[in-house]
Amino acid sequence: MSLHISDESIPSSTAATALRPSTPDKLDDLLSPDEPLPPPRAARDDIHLLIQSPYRLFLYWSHARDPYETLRRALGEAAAQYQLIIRLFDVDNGEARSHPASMDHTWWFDVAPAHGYRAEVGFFAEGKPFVHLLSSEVTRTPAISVAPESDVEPEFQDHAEGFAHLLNETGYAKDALTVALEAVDDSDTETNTRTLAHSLEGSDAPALEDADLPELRSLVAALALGENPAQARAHLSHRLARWLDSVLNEHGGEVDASRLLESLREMFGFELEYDETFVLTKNINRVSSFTWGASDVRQPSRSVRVWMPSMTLGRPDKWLPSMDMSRAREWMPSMSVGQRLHIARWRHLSDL
Amino acid sequence: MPNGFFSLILHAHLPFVRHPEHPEFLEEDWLYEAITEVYLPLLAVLSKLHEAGAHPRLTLNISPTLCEMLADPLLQERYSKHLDNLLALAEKELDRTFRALPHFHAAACMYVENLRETRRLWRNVYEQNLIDGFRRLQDAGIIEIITCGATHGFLPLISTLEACRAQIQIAVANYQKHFKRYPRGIWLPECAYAEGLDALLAEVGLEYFIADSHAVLYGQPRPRYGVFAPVRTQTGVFAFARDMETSEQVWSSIIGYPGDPCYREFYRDIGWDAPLEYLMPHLHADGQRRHLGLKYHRITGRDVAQSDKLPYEPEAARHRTIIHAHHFVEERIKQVSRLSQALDGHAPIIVSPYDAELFGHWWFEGVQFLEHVFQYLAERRQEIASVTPGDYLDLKRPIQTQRLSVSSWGEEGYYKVWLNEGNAWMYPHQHAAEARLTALANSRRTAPSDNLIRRALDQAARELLLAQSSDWAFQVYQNTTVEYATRRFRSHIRRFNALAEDIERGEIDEERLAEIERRDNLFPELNYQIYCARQKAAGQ
Repeated sequence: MSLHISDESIPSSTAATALRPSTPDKLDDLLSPDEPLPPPRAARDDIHLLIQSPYRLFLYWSHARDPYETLRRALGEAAAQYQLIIRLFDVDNGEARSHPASMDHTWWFDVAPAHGYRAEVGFFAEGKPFVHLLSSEVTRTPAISVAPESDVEPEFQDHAEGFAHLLNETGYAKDALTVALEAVDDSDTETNTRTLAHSLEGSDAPALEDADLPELRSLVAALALGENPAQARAHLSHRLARWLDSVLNEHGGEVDASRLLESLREMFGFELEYDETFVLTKNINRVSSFTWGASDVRQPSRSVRVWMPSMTLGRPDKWLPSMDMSRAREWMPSMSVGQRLHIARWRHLSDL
Repeated sequence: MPNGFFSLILHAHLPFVRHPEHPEFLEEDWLYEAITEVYLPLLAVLSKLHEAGAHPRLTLNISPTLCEMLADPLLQERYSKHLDNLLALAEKELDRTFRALPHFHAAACMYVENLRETRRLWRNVYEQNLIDGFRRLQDAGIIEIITCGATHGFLPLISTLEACRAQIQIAVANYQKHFKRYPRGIWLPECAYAEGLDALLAEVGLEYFIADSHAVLYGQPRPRYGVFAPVRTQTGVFAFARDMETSEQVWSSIIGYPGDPCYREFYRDIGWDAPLEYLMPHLHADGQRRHLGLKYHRITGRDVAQSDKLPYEPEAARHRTIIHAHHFVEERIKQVSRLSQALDGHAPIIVSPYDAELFGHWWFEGVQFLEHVFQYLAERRQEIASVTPGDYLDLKRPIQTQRLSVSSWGEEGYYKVWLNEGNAWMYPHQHAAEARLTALANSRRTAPSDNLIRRALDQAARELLLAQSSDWAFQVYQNTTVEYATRRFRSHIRRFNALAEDIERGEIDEERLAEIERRDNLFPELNYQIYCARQKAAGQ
């Protein structure tokens, strides 16, 4: 009995397989990487929509039988009008997009975070009903920010200012800044995120609702940290996208992050501090690239700390309910406390 | 009660690499290097700390594939030969460096001393049974060993519930075999979490798992204590999330300790530096140069060219580990103090997971560093206590319930490393095999009377498990050992398909089956019926 596994497709019951005299391996499976596996046997029609990240999905599908052949048997000559396509539905906003089905039965989709998607494969012809073949389960992309809701259990309810501090300690600066803006809004002061938004937008800006505030804060934080507006816009809701467009129109197509930071400093007393060694992140010699077995563990892409006036070595005697500009100015000289904390945490080993 | 808690978690894993069909195999060296540089030193240091009364307490995941390799007689025998060979070379180096390379002689002496001690531990103390050594540490209360996916399969990208469940249940059974008890926790491979995985963990009674920071931070509702307290999933399993600050101090080659100029340079190795004819008796039969583990240079500086690296000074490096360990512990105490303010006095737990192999292999001085860390932690236990996740749960503190976010600890925090344009081709094959195995198992819920078919079913399950190893997709993405990883994946899919065909035909190629069994011999206790779909009770 042959011990050889053919490098062609799975041996059929009647095919003879030959030993390769030059190959000492009984199983003969140390094959050249150039020899791909045959397509997997499709026992049935199947479709998979897989998450790669909050921004990308991978689709692949298979047919047990040639779908065109099936269509021809059903429709005869009329089948020639049809094209096999794939469709992706955003189940949250109802948007759909279509593409011709690829020959290798795979596709990559660019998508938005925190949305549900469903993929379909079927036949399309202009003016004809869609012939549905396959439909995937709904796949939800993960969120890329902290939840807007605190716990309803009193024991685990947070206050925004404290939570912003915690996020800052964890190295999640964008989220810390987002939640710091929430803290400002919670404090019922006149100067808040809406005030900031009005100072940035153009006259054609849409009116923002309360429900838009969490997304607005996150957007402001992203822009203040230098995120590319076009990249940020790709994942915004319609209203926030239009708002961002009005800001861009007002400011010559750009968002000046340093000016935005200046606004944050003047209005709320916020400061961002950077550790410039992390600008070299891309050049870091990743352990996994030269050491077997090393995981490719993600690291913060940039060391940023958010400093808020409430951050002192000790808790303030009372919360600062209204962070008006005069108080912000009053705090400015003691910003060195925050700076000292930052430097002490991030000093280089050469200081040891 | 201390002001805070520190939980060091070491993840020890290697993919199953065993090639009895060849007298030697390059990739088997991964295991041998890890035994020499990581596992034996770790065992020795933890025992020493315990005997000195330092009460180290840490968590160690030893993946099932690593357990199987450490317990495998062939690999144990090959390691003995590897160690003897390396020691012989190191002893030759004493003479060569003394005569001609005096600036390397101190390092050469260090290697001989280390390797002689390694051999003594391997032969006399642990009698080639490192699993038993780790088990005894657990039984003595020094470490808490947790399990991992059976073959480190990337669970969110496994397509069937049965195959996902099998990765977990086979792992638990394997753990019980090696460690004679039930595991409390699990290291999800790559800390990869997707909704529903916790339900599978709860099914088998696992209490906790390790996740990345944004699994909890982006979960719902907001985590009151951030990553500085565990959360409970809705199925009752707890998640402990990674602290980024401590991660950077070891992982980062820029600001982390391992990048210190005093420490040993990884890339300069006598396998590349010494004359080839001198090395030949110690290389593999192919005579190809490779890393041998004897390195004489120190990092010297971040931008120093390899050719300009200075000689390694063991004493200076050892002294540096003391300074860094002290700094690490002091920073943890300060971190706890800062966090306590943000947490309204709630004592935080700082969870620090790392690959075990970083300590000793990449960072040569890493195990020494850990020794000193635990010595200092013992002195400061009133301020910060070293605990395992199990210890923390035993405190019975109130814990928030949360739905975690999809996540992993890989690059960019999701699944990109394991699913991208370079390795997406693997999943149709893997998923087809997963579905096919469940179909085969379902049609044979009662074990077949034909023992050959039973063996073929069990072996098909092993081949699927080996194909599912996340290491292959990872290595393809990293562009490190692409050829080997690709070959391995294809081999296991081919073997699976061949066995599946035989089973479906009812005619097993016995000689081929025996050869496959001989090579891929992990999990002898495995039962294919674990892949059966669960049947609904009547009336459901």
